[in-house]
Amino acid sequence: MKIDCRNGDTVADALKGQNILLTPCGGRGSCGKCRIQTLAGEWLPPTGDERRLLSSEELAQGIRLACQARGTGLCEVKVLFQTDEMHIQSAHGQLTGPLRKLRRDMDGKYGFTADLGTTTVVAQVWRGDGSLLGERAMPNPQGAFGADVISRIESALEGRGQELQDLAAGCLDELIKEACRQAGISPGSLEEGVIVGNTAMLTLLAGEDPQGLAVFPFEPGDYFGGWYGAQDLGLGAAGARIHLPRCIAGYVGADAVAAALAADLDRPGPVRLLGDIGTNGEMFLSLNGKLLCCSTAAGPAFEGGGISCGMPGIGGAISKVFLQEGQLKWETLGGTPRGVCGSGLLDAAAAFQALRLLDESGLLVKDGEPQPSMEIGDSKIALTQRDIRNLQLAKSAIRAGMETLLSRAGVLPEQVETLYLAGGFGSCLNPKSAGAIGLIPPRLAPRAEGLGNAALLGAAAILLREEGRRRALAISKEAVHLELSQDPDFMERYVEHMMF
Amino acid sequence: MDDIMLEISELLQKGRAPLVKEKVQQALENGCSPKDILEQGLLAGMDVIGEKFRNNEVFVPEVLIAARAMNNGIAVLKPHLAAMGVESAGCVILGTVKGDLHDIGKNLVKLMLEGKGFQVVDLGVNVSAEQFVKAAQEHDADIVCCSALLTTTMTEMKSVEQALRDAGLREKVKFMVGGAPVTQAFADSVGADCYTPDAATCAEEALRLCRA
Repeated sequence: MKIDCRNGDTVADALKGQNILLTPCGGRGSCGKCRIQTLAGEWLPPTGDERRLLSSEELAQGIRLACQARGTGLCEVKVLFQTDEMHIQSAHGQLTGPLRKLRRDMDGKYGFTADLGTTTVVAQVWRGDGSLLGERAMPNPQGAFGADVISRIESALEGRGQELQDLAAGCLDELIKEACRQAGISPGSLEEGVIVGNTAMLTLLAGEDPQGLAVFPFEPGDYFGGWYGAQDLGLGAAGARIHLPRCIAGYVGADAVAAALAADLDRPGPVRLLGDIGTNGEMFLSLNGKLLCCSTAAGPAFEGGGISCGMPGIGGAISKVFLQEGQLKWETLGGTPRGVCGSGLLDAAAAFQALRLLDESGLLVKDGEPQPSMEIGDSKIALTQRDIRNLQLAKSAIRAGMETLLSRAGVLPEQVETLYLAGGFGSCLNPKSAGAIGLIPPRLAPRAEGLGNAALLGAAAILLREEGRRRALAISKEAVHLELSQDPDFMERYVEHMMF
Repeated sequence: MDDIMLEISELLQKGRAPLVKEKVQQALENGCSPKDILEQGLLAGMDVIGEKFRNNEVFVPEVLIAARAMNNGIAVLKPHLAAMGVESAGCVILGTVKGDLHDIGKNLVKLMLEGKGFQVVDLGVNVSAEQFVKAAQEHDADIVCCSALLTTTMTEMKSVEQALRDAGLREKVKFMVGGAPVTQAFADSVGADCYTPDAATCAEEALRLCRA
């Protein structure tokens, strides 16, 4: 790939806007993931961060980090790390439940829904009778500014908010157009749309100031909940009126509200727990329809970040690991193993644990000796001790969040009838492994149920269902939000559950 | 006599707080010097934990448990150490910067610093630049140490450095920074004297800075 570095740009800068997700840590030179190989051109010498994160053999082969390597003219590189072939999970097949009692005023009309996720953006086109006509997904192009919401907020605060807004709007526009083409209708015939996303994503889409989300007490400038003209959001293609559902808190957004709606958590019934597990985990506890919620920062480990061989759930990722007659077996999502995705990571840790290769404290051991790394069967892919440490931090954040919710409500884990798991990672993981390593309370493993993309499902309910919008609003206003960052009970559990 | 030091060190590494307390008491009764018990028993044990933590061999929970055992032992020693006038390695003002509430990393730094014999004034989380300066003046500190876990709050470290400068403290006080998003390049950009990627290294570098 030829790039123009005549301004002394880094490779990442030169590639920005080309929809190649290059810099998981936002270009700070801390993650070491954005590897490229220099093929031609003049280059400035490696930075301190590159020397720390790359081996001398790698540097000798011209392998550099895209966010650090600066060219001095016209250069040529090969991108070794990219995530633009994302495996996107569809919400198909689960639509019957929430779509009862459809809105009469949408009869014969068309609308769209979209989930503006930090990692993945999905749009769907619907007919008012509840038929799904088209669906398209792509990685969030804001990923060029960093994989997590905090680095995007930081970029916006540095004056790049307009770029972030344009990227989000452009991506939604394109997906809606394509989904319409698939549906065989013109984008002009869309009358209404519902866009869900976390609070930060909606704030950036609406072009509002994210300052409140950057620092404690993490209060959003706008909770949303209103209607927008397509033009206000920079969506040329979309319908005339767009609804952004109301958020609950800075880190419990409209997507979480939609997920709670999709799981019918606001209806009376048994005790239910919902976990939307990703980089940020949002959790709801329903006590006969009364809701308690919280969020915890799990970090990017479940999406491959901070894991030496971590990768998204695409071809080549080990997604399943299990024991067969005491032997460790693995499966990939097609092709030879290139790394491990979130569900594979959980399975591998659980299998190591069962084989006593991973002790209670998280130490990799073999014949009583600590090991720097451990291969997953004969896959030639290994987890390092540091990977296990990052997994411990991530799983503990989720578990501590769930248990703090339960304890505040005075509910024991065994009183929970169903644990709904939502989100790309949440609904792909094997609950048995999640229970074994303590990501979820072990007693709840047999009662876990995958919900798929519950946020998108909830968005459809808001668009199409008679009472969808009203119920979503009620959830957002009535759910009691627990702020965990100052909760000593949470901190204690967080440390406790780092153990396996 | 050395056996009991080794025993204290090993019990501390296993986090056996009540036994550490008991053995420290016993060592005192046997006539061991409080300084030796501190250095060869408690701090030696914490050193091993620090080294293992840096190598990923032990993790946050073990460090916390070992530190609790150390504090149990130090509580027994304290009156004796004070009577002997044992000097601390230096005084460190520690806190997580304004807008940031993360404290696990900061707490580990505190434990490791105490494990090296520092007097640590922990200002907690969400600490403003003014509070850092005030504490540095009040305690006649040698080092101010800032932690941040968010890229949006780590910029606050620049304000702390500036505030120390404005108060005329910068000649006297060393400024250290750390936290997951902090890099050497960032530390340089805020004018820090030192950045370390982990808590154990932080304590070692702090000792080096104070002896320099």
